[in-house]
Amino acid sequence: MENNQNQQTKVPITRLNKFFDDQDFGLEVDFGREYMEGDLHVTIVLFSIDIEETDTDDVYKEVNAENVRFHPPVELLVNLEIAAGENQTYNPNGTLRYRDYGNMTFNIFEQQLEQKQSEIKYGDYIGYRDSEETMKYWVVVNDGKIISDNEHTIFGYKGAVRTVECTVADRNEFKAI
Amino acid sequence: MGIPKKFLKNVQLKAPSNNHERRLEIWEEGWNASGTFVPKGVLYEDMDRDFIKLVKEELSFSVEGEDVPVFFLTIQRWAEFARTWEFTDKDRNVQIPFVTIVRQPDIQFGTNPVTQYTIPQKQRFDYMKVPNYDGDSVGVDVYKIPQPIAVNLMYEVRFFSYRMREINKFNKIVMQAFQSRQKHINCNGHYFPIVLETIGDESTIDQFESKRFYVQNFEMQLQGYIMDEDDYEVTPAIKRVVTLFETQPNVVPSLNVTNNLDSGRETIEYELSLSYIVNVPHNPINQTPPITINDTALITTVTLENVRDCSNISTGCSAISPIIEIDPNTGTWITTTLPIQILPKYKIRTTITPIDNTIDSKVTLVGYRNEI
Repeated sequence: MENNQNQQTKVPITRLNKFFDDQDFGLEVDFGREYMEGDLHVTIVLFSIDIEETDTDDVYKEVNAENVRFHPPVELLVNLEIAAGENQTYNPNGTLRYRDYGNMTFNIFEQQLEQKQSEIKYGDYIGYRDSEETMKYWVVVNDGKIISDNEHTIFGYKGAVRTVECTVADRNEFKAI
Repeated sequence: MGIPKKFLKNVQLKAPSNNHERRLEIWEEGWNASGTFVPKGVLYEDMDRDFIKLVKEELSFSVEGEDVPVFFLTIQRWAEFARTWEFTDKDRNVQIPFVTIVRQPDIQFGTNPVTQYTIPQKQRFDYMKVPNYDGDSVGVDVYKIPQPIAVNLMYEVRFFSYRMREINKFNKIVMQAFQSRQKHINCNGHYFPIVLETIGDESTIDQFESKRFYVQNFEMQLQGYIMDEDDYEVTPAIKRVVTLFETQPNVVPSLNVTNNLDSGRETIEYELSLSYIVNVPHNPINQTPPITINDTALITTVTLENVRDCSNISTGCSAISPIIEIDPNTGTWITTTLPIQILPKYKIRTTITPIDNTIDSKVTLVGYRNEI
């Protein structure tokens, strides 16, 4: 069974062609990117796992944080939201309290990923510098690969923006530096 | 086509072994698996590895010429992607059909054999005595291992498919494999039974307005045990050494001194003089008159008075002197040399070459009393 990800067949999109075409789509994307990347300028770092170089154990395919190998980090300009973390305990009886960061959700234009030749996949790590001193890491739980729904298209013409959901990653799981 | 009765399908040239012989074979397999004299250790990951191997190799099948992939899943997200990416489509969704294996993380004490808490504190037992040689002496090492800890591992094997025909196919393979309720795996030379506990259905048939597919869940219990090689113990056995001393009995122990041969017993000296008196006629000449012995003794040395000491004929020694002869009560005289064992009723005489023929001579036989 071979991987089906690289289908090369391309068919032009003709929907909405009385009012909207590929050039209009490009213009809308430019407006959006100018706002998101130029005005907001929120930066995250993508650490894409190199699954070939990471030396995992034979049975479980697991690895320690120190031994995770990743491709060169890529800086991405996104529009993000970090949810408030919950106050929780490790034990069910209410002992050993902890509170970590909440989930991260960010939007990113597909065009940016194409230009930077990057891909966000399930299990990749995202670094976000939340203060001058600290960088916190999240792990991708939803790569938002499918962008054909109304919310992620421009007038239903074609998907333009991807919404990626991440959950916080412990330093025992991943530490880039 | 049916096979005629009494038609042998498989002819075994070598009869399969049974009972004790078979047990020895299994034991030897374990021995060979480890390459040492002790069985190879077996831990959880070894069991997981061989369970995955069982599913991949013995429960596997193909659909339309493609092998159905098997995924052993843990919680590390990118590890899941690393296992499945090869079988994903453009949207990175794993394509049905596939088989997943999930092991329940809580491992319980085993039921094979039934857990009995009879042996406390990791008591180790002799497993084997292995001969060794330290360059000086031959001994043995005692290999000790503790009682294995029986454990049960629960696996959930799920088969995902869109077609009933594929579900039937996988189900048939599992049923055939577990025809006798259990199937054994050889894990590092140890045979563990896997019992098919339940077969469940988690199909999404009732999801009228969403994706529907069949999911058949097989719960299997591996009844194994763990043996940690770090718990093995090798101790040298007690050596029993036999020391042999080779001695010669020509050592004359002094009186009241314990000799080495017979510790704890006193040695009693024995002395016998054979005199040659000049004024008494002798026939033949230079020969002492025979003496009848009354004791049992071992003569070890001879002292001479006015007698030449000639063990060989040479310049100054025209004849061998003294020549000691014994008659062991047979009427025949036998020339003898030291040491001389004498017994009662033996007769003894000696032929000498005097140094000075005008004075008496004497040969004194010295030894110690013994018992024959």
